[in-house]
Amino acid sequence: MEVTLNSKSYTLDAPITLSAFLEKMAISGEGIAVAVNNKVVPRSQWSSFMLEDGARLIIIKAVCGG
Amino acid sequence: MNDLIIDGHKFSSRLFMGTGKFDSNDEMEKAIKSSGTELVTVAMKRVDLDDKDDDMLKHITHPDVKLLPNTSGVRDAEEAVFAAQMSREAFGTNWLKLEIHPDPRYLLPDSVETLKATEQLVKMGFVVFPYCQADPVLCKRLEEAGAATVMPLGAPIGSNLGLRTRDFLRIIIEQSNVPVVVDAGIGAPSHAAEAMELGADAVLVNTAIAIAENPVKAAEAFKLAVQAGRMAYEAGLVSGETSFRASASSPLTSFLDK
Repeated sequence: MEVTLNSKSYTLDAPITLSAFLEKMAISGEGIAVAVNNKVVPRSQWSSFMLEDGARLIIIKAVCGG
Repeated sequence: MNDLIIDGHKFSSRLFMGTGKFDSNDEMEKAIKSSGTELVTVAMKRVDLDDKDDDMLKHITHPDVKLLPNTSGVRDAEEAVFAAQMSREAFGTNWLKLEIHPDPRYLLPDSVETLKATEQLVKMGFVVFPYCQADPVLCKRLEEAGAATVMPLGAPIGSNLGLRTRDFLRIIIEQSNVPVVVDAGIGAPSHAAEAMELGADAVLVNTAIAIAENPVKAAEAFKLAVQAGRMAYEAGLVSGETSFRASASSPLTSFLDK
């Protein structure tokens, strides 16, 4: 199955949870927010939220700005 | 000096600072310290897995410094609401600097979308700081929509030109029931002092500090100017400026009344 993260495609062997995906991609959970198919997924649901084939993820973090 | 209170949070510094355009995170951190600021803005970007840059948040995380995430990059109210939800999740705060600027050339705020987004975000429990035109009528509408402050621009953003909207800022300050934060265009400590003397509740400065030859020193200069300007305002300077109260030259007939 395939998912996209910030518009880049990634192939996964099987559906996994959002937490497992973040770990696999070595993304630290601190100071980030995740949306799947344009809906924010609260941190409390990361460990139970299953990524399905075709899921579109947006992950953002802090950057300097005015 | 009187404290500034926003959403129940007490500020003893009336200088808010942006974190963009510094040469390094270390320099930004030092400038934040020397400015004495208690509120700094931060933006959001999509994570790039190939980019292992320094985590900027650790440079601004301090018990006395509150975060004000912005929605920079959004083009309309719908995108702003999405960005706000992401921001609340990432930073654990419901405070939000709402900035909607569809055209990156001038980064001027879209008044219609800003008002629409403010109405929605307030209902969703956000504490909204809208970056907006120095339009007294718009500022009143934003206040009525529940904005925690209004943040009218002093001049085109990044221009360092000072208070080009001065006359309208005076009217906004005179009629506002929420704190007025002059944002954008402040290029020198004298501009910041001028805004405070007019009665602005705070100023937000970024470019002028970040691009100074010595940002740490510039930050301190702004701190002192904001203090001086506020003190002068509280001292009740007699400026000799005339009132802007309008006198209609056409009859204000209530012709729409039944």
